[in-house]
Amino acid sequence: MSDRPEIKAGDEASFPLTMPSPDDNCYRFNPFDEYAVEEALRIRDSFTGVTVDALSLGPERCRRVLLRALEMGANNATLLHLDRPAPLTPFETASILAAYLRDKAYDLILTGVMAEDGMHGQTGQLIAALLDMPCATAVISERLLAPRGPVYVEREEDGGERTAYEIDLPAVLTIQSGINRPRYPALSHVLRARTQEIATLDAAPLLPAARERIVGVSRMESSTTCTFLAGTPAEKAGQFLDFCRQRGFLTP
Amino acid sequence: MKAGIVVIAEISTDGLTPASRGVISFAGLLAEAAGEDMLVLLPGHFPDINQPPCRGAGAVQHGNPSSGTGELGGWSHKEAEEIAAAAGCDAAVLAGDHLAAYSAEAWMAALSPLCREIDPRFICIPHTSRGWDYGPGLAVRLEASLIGAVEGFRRQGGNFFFKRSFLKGQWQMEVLPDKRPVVLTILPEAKGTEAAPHATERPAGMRGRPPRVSFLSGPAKDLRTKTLGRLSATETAYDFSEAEVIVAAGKGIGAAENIDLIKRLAGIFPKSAVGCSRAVCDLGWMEYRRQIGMTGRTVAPPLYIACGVSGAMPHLAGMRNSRCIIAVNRDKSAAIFQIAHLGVVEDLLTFIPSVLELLENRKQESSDD
Repeated sequence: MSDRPEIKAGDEASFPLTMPSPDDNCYRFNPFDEYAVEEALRIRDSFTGVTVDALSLGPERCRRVLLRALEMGANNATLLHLDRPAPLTPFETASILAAYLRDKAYDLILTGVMAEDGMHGQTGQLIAALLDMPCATAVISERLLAPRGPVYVEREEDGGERTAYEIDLPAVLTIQSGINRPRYPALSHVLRARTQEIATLDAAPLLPAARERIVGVSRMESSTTCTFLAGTPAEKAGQFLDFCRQRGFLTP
Repeated sequence: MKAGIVVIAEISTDGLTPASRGVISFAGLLAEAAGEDMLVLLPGHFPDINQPPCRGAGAVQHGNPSSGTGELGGWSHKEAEEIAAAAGCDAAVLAGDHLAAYSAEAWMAALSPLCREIDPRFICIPHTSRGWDYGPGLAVRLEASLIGAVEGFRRQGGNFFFKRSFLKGQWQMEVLPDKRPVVLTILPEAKGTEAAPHATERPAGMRGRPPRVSFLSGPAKDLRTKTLGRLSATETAYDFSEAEVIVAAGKGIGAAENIDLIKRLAGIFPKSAVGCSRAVCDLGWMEYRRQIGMTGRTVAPPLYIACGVSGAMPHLAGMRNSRCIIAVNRDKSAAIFQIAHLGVVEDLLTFIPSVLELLENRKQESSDD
């Protein structure tokens, strides 16, 4: 990007910037976000006067995701359109989303706990910090005590332990997988979604100055420390059993 | 108080957590490479450290001491010094009743003014359910660079590059921070942390004097997050401790009915147990109490057999210290092979039945003899 500092000579990463291409089949609705959409719909259905807006940042292919959110039952959908080859950092993603959300006065902002691909697990917390809202991550149970809050949440910690919090609104919750069962869209919603417009906004002007840059991306080399069994499946099965027996895991 | 490298450690009822020790070791290497001093911050509940030296961070405000969490009984002055000595470098205890029952908001409110004052180049935080929770917000408050789930670093000239993996551990990226400070959340197995047990003997940036411990108080003001307390587990965790062999199912087993194959494979070993990855629980194929990984159990059996497990970081966090790891996966590039000792690139649905059949045949033969 021309508006950002060039990587100076001597800064080279140890591997080049080769992004997985779209045919790597790695672009789809982030499953963690499906849980977030489902949770939002459940909140809406338990109160009157609540609407759910779906928001996505990225290139054209994100429309598929927004369409799915509408099919699931979201009221509105907005695409913050940005198409650039280099991957966004969580700070860049969160800054754009926060800039858009700042004057929208949402009571509750839900995200997935992480993106399945990048696995940073930072965007929700960053949005909250940028908007000066409290945030709970890895939310595995949630109950809005009144339409304007507070919200009771249980957050999942290491080892599956849970801590309960009560949080004032507006707030950001990052939703842990398993909190609910995301619904399959009802046919009536699928048909309605086809007629709904997805609002589109150019996100490029919202891109902040980077605070860190992803300078190299590469596929891991195949493992050099693992011994791979060779032969037919039956031969491998034999070697597997021999291995376990030699090490005393199987009785001879 | 100034330092080039700050570690924000976590303490449990047993003192410094293993993840914190790992990060202290990692930070020691970073301190060495960067030629910086190191300081360990210990946020927590220290009931007898209620009167300052209370600098910068504002007045101590005593919340309701019976906040009902029962998480920590609190630490004494003497224990604080022992924890600091275990860290092996200068330490600052950040005491506050509200810091015992963890909430991201309370920790960030206490840590950000202090970090601003210390003005470090790197802030090293364990990539645990806490560190990963408050690290990003702390970075925003400090206008810092932020890199999460760090697995290693590399210095080139004056620049530090940090490595992390993504896409189920099959890809890696290198991130270059542009700002000071840099907030890093660091995985326990990050490069250099193998030396964790010796970390206490190797004081980093100590300049040949004994470690100093300072005592500070963190403010608790206007928090919008109320910590209600730890909950007891909804279901009893499965006890893997007796198992010599753990056979774990990943999403790659394809369907709920194939769990039976995993059980049958486990059944051939005398002392075995069946576990799974989080994805398998989320799909409803197995109960959460059998989940192995960051938000599940941590296991280290003599033999771990990973079946259809991709090997993404959260699962590895729960099993990578198993003494021997066998991975069975159709995809040779699955990240699980990076840590496996023995790899079988096969379809589970054909491989497991052929193992069972072969074992049956061998038994028949030996009984025929």
